Amino acid sequence: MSSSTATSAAVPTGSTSLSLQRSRRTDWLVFLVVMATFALVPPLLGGFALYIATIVAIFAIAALGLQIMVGLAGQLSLGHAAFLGVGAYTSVLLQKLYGVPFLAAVAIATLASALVGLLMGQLVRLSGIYFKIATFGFGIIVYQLLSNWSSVTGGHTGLIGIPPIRILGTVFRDRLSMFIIAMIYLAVTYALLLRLTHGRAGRAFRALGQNEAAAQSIGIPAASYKMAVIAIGCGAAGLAGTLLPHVYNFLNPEEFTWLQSLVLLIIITVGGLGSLPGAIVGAVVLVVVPEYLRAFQEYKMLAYGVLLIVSMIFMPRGIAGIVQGLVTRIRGRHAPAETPS
Amino acid sequence: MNAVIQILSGLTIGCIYGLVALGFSMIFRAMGLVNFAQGDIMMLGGFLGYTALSIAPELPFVFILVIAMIATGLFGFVIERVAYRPALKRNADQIYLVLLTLGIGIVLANAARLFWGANPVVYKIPLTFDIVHVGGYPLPRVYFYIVGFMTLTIIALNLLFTKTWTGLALRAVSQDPTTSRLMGIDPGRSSSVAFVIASMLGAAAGVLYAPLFYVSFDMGAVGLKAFAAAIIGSLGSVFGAVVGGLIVGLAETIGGQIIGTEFQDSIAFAVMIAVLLLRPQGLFAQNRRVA
Amino acid sequence: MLRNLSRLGALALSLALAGQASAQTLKIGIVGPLSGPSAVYGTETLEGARFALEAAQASGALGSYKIELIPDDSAGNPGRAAQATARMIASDDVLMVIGGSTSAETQAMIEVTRPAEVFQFSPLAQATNLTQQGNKWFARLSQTADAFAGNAAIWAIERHKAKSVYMLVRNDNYGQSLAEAFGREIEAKGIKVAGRVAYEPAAKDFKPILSTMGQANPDFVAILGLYTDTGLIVKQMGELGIKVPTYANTSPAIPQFIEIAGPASDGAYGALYYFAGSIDTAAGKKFVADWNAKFKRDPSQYEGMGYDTMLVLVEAVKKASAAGKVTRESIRDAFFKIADLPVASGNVSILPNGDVKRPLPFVQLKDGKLKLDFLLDK
Repeated sequence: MSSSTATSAAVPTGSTSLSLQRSRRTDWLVFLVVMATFALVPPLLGGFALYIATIVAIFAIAALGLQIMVGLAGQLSLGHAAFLGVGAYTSVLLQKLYGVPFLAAVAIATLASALVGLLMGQLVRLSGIYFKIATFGFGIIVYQLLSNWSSVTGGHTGLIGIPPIRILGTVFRDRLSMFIIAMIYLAVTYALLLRLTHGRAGRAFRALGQNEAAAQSIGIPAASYKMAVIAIGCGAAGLAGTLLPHVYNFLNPEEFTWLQSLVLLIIITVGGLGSLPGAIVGAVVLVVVPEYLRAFQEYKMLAYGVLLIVSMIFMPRGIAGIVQGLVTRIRGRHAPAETPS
Repeated sequence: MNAVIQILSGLTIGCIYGLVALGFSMIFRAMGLVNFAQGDIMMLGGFLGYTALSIAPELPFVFILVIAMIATGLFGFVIERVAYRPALKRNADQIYLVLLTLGIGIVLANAARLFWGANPVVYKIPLTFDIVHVGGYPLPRVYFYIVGFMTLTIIALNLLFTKTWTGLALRAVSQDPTTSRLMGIDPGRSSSVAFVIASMLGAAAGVLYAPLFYVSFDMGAVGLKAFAAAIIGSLGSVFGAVVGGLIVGLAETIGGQIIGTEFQDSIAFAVMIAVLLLRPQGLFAQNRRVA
Repeated sequence: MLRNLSRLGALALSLALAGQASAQTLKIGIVGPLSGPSAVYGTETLEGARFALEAAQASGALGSYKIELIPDDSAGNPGRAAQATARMIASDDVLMVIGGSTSAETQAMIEVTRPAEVFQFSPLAQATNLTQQGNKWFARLSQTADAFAGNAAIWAIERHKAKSVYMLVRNDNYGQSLAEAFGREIEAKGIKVAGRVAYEPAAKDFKPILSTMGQANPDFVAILGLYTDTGLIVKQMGELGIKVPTYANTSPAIPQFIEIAGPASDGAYGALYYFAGSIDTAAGKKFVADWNAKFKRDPSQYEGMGYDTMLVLVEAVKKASAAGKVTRESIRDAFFKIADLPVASGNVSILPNGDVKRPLPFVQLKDGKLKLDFLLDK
């Protein structure tokens, strides 16, 4: 639990020391680099790259939320794909059945996912292991509801005829505009969450993740922060979910299985637990790389599992940790006086 | 006819859940670790039994059961040594440990798919199709093996925990790891023992499950429902794991009839959440810390 | 504006790619589950298609053209299938796409191929509504669920004199669309539906359902599902001593069905996409003989479907090249001109809405061997 965003946990509340300011500046610099790369590379490659980048962005948004929830606050969710499902179905059904405009539908769906997350949090006001297994069960229950509530969700058949994205009377349907919309989603989510982690809430989440009892004892209202972080994590997943049906042009419960929840967890682990840019890099790795290893699809899940074990054993701070290590080393050579926080 | 058959089949499946749940409980008790790979250990046991059968088709079922248990037990020993113990030693966070067990589960399932194939395999022995009539009810003969094995397991575990030094050490470690270390109990040894026993129980569940249905690489999902069973009966409690398994088995068959069989997979977890709402540490909680 | 820009880009890209590619090679994408629990449909279809392709390339049936198959795995996941298809169209510039196997993934692929105006031909997908969307870019080799299960219902009534039918339905897109057609035909003929139960695709223990079914005392049971569940249902019917003529969908032809169900599988009926040896034409016999020469066994129904998919494709290439250039549009038009083409599974015609007309074999399992019960060919 110690990467670029998490390191400032050690800094006492309220202090704005030099190193803290510097680490914040670094975080925003990384934000700019990641977003600029993201915004430039796919359009240059064009065609399929735009399409796959849109899907990466969707997974990245969900992973960012999960990162705050798991990597920072230590609330492990094993059924996170369910919340993508809640967001996707709520948004599409609102648009399809009630003609709610796209942006309003997205807002309501995001809120709905956060509320369902809160409901889960309240139902299972539990700590540690009980919470983990309850989230797993919750994921299964949501999946079965989506699959079997046929009159509303279309059941296992799913839904087709997804209305196109329409904002202020303009219809966006082609790959480039889908990509741009996804980029805006991602930039906004990333920026908001980054700000959040820099503030008091971020410090509280980190304290919660390190030791719940200790956090409580130094006066952090652990229960309310826990609920808040669950709502944020689930809301981000819901937001990501609202885009998915518009990219695929269909909606099917198979996109929200236990397997997808696992993939999301692997994304944040490989990217580096606790690191926001890590979540995005993880999404790139897990969505793009398999596309280019088409001949080895059969081994994909095996490779995912090995990747998870290897990152747990050999690089517990993920790709973000490795990059940070490299940067520190290079910097250390130029400015040996600087002490790492 | 109807109700009796339903209850009996529910209880038998419940025994299978109970065996896997016992494995979860043993490991949690000894190491404070939630082992998400336990369901896949069950799958591995089922496949190893299948391999033993294809090498020696004439072997009696009980031998197959024992061979699969020993082989899977060895396997569990190796996993504990190679993967879990180093992580526990460096005091890794709970989240890392859970993710590690998930990773091992994925690797086991997918390696099994590559090794034994994606299609389910069936034990080609008479037991798979044998029927015994008891009081007019047609029952698969393997039911008796399952119930018999369950009974033996409960007796053996009770003896282990009350009559042997190893068992006492296991209990001591689970109640207070620091003090027990001071008393000269090696926690590493306890976790090895717990892992081996849990793997053997998982393997037994897999082999006993095979004649009822079939063995397939994705059957670890059955094990995850056993998780709900372990929690319903309070993690760490031997008695609780068994009762929790039976409750889940019964709830699935009877509940499936009431609310519709298409929701069968949800029932175990719905019951679990309901139980946790009423009793936050399960039905048979003793006073103990919960990680 | 954005739209036009990206169109322009795509046009430029495809022109560039078209210039590069050899004029003689036709790239054909093929998407299906090559891994995961439904892998048998994808892998066997692909195997059959490759077998037919080798023969066609060797015999020179393709003239100056060469077909390059580009396979990708959907793992049975619709999103993955859509992604694979999008990549084939954008990056590989395929002429057309073969797939998918399940109806959900086929629908997902249609959402990609239709707007891109690339023809898609599914070897196995059955959901009836796939061909009812006014889509000019899709056709299939399999009968619809409507035709398949509807005819199965008529067969059960007319040939087996069913009076009271109990339906067990896999609760997914596939099972439910079969059940809808089956139930409709049964009721239309005034026959009693003694019960209809949906079960979860992952279900293993059917005893509770079956003991209820036993009490309803039907004289015919129809299981509309996949071999993993039909196998367990037939096994557990045997355990409960329920002996009723049973229709187990396409399962009786799958070896695992017999293994899972055990002795109880004896006598089970089924309808198949294709049944080796049921087709008495020259093309039908040639396929079984060629396959046996290479693999020393009869081809499975999915291998047969993959084989026929390729034969239909080869014929379409011939027709398109005879009429001019082989393009995404001309290959589509050629598919819709396929009429009474003799292939392994009988004579095939593609209908104007993308559906198919071809024989439907009904089989029965007797002493571990399949025998033809009835060949519906009208």
